[in-house]
Amino acid sequence: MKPPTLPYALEAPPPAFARALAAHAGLLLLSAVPLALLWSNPYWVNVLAYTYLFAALAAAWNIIGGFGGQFSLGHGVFFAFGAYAVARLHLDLGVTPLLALIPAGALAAIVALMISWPTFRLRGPFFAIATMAINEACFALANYADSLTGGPRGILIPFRAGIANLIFIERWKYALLMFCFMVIVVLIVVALRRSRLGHYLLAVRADEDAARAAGINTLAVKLKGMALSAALTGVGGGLFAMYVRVLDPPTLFALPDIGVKFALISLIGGIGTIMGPVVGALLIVPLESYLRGTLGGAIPGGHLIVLGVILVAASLFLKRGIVGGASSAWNWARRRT
Amino acid sequence: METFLNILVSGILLGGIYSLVSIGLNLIFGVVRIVNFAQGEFVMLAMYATFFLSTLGIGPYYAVFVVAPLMFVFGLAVQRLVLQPLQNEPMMQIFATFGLLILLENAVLALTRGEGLSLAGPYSRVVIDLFGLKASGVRVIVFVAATAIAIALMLFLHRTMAGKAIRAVIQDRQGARLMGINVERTYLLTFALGSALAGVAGALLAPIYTLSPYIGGNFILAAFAVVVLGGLGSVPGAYIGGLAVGLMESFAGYYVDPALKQAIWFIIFVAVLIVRPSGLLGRAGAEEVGLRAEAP
Amino acid sequence: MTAPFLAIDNATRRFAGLVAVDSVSFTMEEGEILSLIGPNGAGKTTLFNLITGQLKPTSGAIVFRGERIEHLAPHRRAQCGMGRTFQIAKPLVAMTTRENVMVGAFLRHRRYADAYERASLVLAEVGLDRRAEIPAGELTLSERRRLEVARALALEPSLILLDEVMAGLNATEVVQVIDLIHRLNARGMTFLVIEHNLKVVRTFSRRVIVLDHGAKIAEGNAQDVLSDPKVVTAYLGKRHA
Repeated sequence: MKPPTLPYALEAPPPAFARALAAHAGLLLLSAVPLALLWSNPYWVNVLAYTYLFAALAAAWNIIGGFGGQFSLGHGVFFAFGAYAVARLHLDLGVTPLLALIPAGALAAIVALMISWPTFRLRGPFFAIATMAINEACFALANYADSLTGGPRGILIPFRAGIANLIFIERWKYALLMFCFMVIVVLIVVALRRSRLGHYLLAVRADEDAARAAGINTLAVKLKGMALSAALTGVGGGLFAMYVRVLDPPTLFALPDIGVKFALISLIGGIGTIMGPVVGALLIVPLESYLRGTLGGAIPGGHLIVLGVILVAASLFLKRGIVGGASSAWNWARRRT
Repeated sequence: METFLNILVSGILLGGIYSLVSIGLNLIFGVVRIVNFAQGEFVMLAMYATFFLSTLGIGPYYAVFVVAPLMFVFGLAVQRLVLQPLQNEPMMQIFATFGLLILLENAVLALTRGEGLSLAGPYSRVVIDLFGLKASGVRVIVFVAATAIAIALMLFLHRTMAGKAIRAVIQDRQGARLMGINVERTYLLTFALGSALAGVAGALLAPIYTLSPYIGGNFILAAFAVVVLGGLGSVPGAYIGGLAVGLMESFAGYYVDPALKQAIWFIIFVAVLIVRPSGLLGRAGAEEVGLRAEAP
Repeated sequence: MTAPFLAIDNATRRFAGLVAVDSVSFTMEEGEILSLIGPNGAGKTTLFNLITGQLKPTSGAIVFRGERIEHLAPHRRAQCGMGRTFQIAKPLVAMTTRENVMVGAFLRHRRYADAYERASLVLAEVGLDRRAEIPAGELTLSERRRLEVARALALEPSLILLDEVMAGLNATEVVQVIDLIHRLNARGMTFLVIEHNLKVVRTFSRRVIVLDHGAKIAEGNAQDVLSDPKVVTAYLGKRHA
């Protein structure tokens, strides 16, 4: 049967994609201002490199965790796979890390599909528990698989500066690299948000029954979202590897520092928003490193106490995050006038 | 053969520990439908409280009568102030209880400066001879306590009015509400009871472990495996699941590789989650309630 | 004889001892508006779920445009040309009204601009065009109902199943929905409708099926069926008991 055609004229053409891209690129450039101001201060340049990296990683988590509503605590696994893949390809085969990032992302996506295909049968907290358990299992395995991961001692990547090795003497170059990565990830998310997959992920999160009735293969959508999210996380892990150059399992699989951190940053900024992870990272990462510096010596774990309080408080009072809260306030104000 | 029996006994005793830790978690899950990621830290807090009391000359088996009520009150506060406002928001519950986990872990780290504390007294070295097999006395006590608590809890749930109210809430919270049961108060009491059970566990485990702020992490992951294996929300499930995980860990530790024992039961755990998400004794479909808000 | 547009053949669904749908059979012609009525708990929504795939029948067959579909997942049935609404409207939160409709439109239009355009047309059709850019969670009850219809319509289905889309609406809103159904039907769309308001059923449906306790107790011309004493006792009797 012919689809019904409707005798109405369009009231407005769809907003142009280029404009959305440009608007977000502009916002992202704003987040480079601190780097421009502080580029000669090694401490803050370091902090900013982490900030941009974690903004990108949180934005990647947000694809499946925020848009798709699948609360993964296992993204540390994809992060670690990416990091190890880049390190091994670089050390054993002499592949330049710049190129190794591609197989690293692909590997992380494949691992994610293998893990997710069965675990997507679980919902809500059970999906979270299962992904957390997988993170811990991989942690134990990484400690065990000496030949690949160097066991508990870890891998050391020798310092050979050069763009091909993604190793730099000047710290600001790392910050710039991470900034570029963040821009790429966020622009991918901008495109995703307007795409069919983006709409389908949001529909799956809102109501799986309604999504299925709208012709959506919910499992396939979740798998695609997870694969994209994990691939970007794997690339981030590869960049992290070349940045810190020491990879040991306790660092890569630490829940509060990696897996949960991605979710926390998204929560503070706004789960399921495009700029939320960037805003969240700009707040949380510098705050945490400042607290670590000032409290760390006097009170062991002091910065994490603050982080825990922020987590509880945000879940109670800032459910939609800074970006989510601000955008609904803006909508409300606009409709009042 | 003797090796086998020794591993069996140590597995059962380890299972007793896991059962004891998991029963409270599973009770909370079954009734309040909240996955308390901080349950391991509740146990850790209780261990430190027990240690503190021991410095005042109160032994752990007396301290339990102080620590459990304290944890009951603590549980009341957490449920009322943090979790009750998040009743229908599973994602925020994960954040909140994970935040509590990080908060408690590091608060204790800050207070104790990370010093490893040990409460080992003379009784820690008591060895009981069971038909030629040697078993640590403090672990036997834990096993007996876990068994007694599982039975007592079953009796409580089936024989008392308060227990019946709790079971009514498990089955149908709307229906329970219509029957005049105060659902919020039932949640409050159940969460507090689950916390008190963490208190009991902490007091009884204090003589066994070297205290560390991070020890909760060991318990919570094991407890999740237990709860998933035994059946979400089921008290006997938590007890039997605890024994099963203890045995698996013990045998895998001996016959495979001690370094891999955790990985092995995590894999089993994930496999159970996938094959039979409701666990051995749980109600089918329980794994889905997490995201289902109150039925309309 | 040509195969019927939709044929339900002895569909049965049991839930742990309870027979929610009890060997129900009927057929539908393309282009008709068929109403499904019956007292609360008669199994109407369960039957809907069997047709659209939210539930699988315990036994029986469902044939849609010549194809056996009872084993297909719900999203496959939507692809085959079925759209449905839910009794409790399910606006997709965290999305605007337009994006809700675009979720449906993306089924037949992969490109953003095409889905956007299709959504605009559908929103105008159901009268939600002025509410397109607000969050779907802020819609009123009547608007949510129309959004349900719009999302189903955006799938460009040949059969639409409406589950009590008029419940709780005022008289003007009911007339709007009836007009919409007539308009779409005039363009060849087929409707299967669960409706409680018998007066409404009479106005748009020539044929009616009555369910009670999961079984079909009457079928036929709306006037005849609604005056059938069996139906009156089952349907109205219970209501006034």
